[in-house]
Amino acid sequence: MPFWRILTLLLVVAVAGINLWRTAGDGLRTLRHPVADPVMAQEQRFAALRRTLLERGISGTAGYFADVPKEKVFAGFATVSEYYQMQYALAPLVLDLNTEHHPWAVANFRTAAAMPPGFKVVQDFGQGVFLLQQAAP
Amino acid sequence: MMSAVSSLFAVAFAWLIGALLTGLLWPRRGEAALVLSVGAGVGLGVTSLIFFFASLVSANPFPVAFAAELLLSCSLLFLWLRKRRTLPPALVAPAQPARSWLGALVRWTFVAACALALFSTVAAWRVEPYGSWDGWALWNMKARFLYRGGSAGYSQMVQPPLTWTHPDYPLLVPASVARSWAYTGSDSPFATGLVATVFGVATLGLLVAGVHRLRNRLIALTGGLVLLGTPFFVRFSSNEHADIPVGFFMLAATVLLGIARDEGDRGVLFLAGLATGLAAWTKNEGLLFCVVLGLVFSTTQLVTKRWRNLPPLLGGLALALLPVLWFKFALAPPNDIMAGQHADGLAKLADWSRHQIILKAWWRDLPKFGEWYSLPFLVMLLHLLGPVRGWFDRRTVVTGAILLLMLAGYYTVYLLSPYDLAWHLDSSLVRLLMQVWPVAVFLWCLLAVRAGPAAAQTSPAESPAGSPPSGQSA
Repeated sequence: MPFWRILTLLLVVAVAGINLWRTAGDGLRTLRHPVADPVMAQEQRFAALRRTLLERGISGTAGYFADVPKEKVFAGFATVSEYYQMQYALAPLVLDLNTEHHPWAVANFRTAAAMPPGFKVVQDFGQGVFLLQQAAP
Repeated sequence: MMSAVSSLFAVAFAWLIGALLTGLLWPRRGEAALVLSVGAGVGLGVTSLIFFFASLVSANPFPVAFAAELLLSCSLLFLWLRKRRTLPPALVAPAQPARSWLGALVRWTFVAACALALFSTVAAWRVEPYGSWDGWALWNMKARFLYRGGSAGYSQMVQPPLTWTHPDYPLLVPASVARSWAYTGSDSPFATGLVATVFGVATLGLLVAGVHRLRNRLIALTGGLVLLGTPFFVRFSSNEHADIPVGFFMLAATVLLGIARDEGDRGVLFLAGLATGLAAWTKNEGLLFCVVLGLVFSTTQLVTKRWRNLPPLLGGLALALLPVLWFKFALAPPNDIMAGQHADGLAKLADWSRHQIILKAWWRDLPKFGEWYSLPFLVMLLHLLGPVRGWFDRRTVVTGAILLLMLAGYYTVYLLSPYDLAWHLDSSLVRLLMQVWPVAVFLWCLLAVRAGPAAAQTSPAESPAGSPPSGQSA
């Protein structure tokens, strides 16, 4: 093999090696200074609610309440993350932002938001997680 | 611990089914690395189809799917054992450069790189056990619907409140994960990471084994290093996106087309078609790949007047694509991009400002989609410098055409996008480029070692009449 091709091949190998070495370095840094995985934290936060839903046989679709009105859930990263994470934790229950059509609803509050009118609290799971039921008209 | 063992068993069983199917269709003995690499993806693809259809007909799909897999594996094993006695030996390995310090250096660097990549994968599993955003919010979410929802899982998954999860997306990855969970009996994060990582490993194995088969070991390992030296590939291989799996099937079909000789090798062509169809079962971009591969292959057959090669490829394609088309037209809601097309499509194609936005985004993302710390392009190009004689053999032309047409297809999809174009590009372009990166590295390897008439790759008994041997070391 000509010298030029040996040299360039070595350069390709060296560049790949540098990239991989630094990738592994990043992995080591994140292991040394771990950041709590938000999805895992939410799984734990919603675990009791999920158990209750299963025990009560609540399936299909339920309403979803957050700190912000439904029009603003998709407007911010934090609010949309909270919604997606709760949906992930409670699947196959479908969470609908249009709450009025469903007898059951779940609430995912991070602030002291007022309880939505027309719903009563069935169970408070702490950390702003509630199971709600539509109050009889 | 038990869930990890069960997950390993689930993935290993799928791999076995894929390896047996691939081995049954493989025309020669002694190419285990290729058979195992192709078999990993094919196995996960076929078993995901079985599990998905079992979940449609049964509230508890696991026994139905397991019985079908057991029957399939026993049948494949029986057929493979019968066939393997009659198989011809492997093709004579391509001319290898003499054992040298360079070969040893590349070999040991590759081994060290594999160890570093494994470490990075384990680190990624620890940091994000549920995968990154798309991993949990799209793919594993759908897997949960399939696993937890029983026969109602799929109908729940496509309810109107969940349009943000893209209910029309194909289900190879979610069904594979749900299947592993069904084996495990719990939705453990380990199974999701394992399925994702197997596709990464299979992509690497396929690239190295394919180039080794077509060129030589030195450039095969160097190509593997280029892929491992792409931080985005290593991170994506464990964080449960579907872009690595669809990239695997694109690479598999391309490599298999390269391996299939001009005459015969119908089994390899059938596998190439199967891999193409499974790409469409992985992501919507796979449907574009079906069109591109069909176009490129038909054109080459038209030019060479070898129409006999079309039926096996189309047979494999149909086997995997028909369930996908049924899913698309009978079950899934319309695709958001297709549904967003109106009469202004032609106007969009002619809108120069859209071309400018796309070209700017491509210029911005091409150098950085791999998240490289040190860009590899210049040194890769330098290695290609030299006479172009020998570049344009059938394999490089086919691979190059597939790559260019895929990029052209992505470009056209962006032109027609109903979304805010800048947002659409920002949120997807790097992933699309990553899908075709393994094929690009494969092409680089083919170009780096010119094909030439001096290489005797096929044994005299195997060499088909009139078909030139191909591949040669530098």
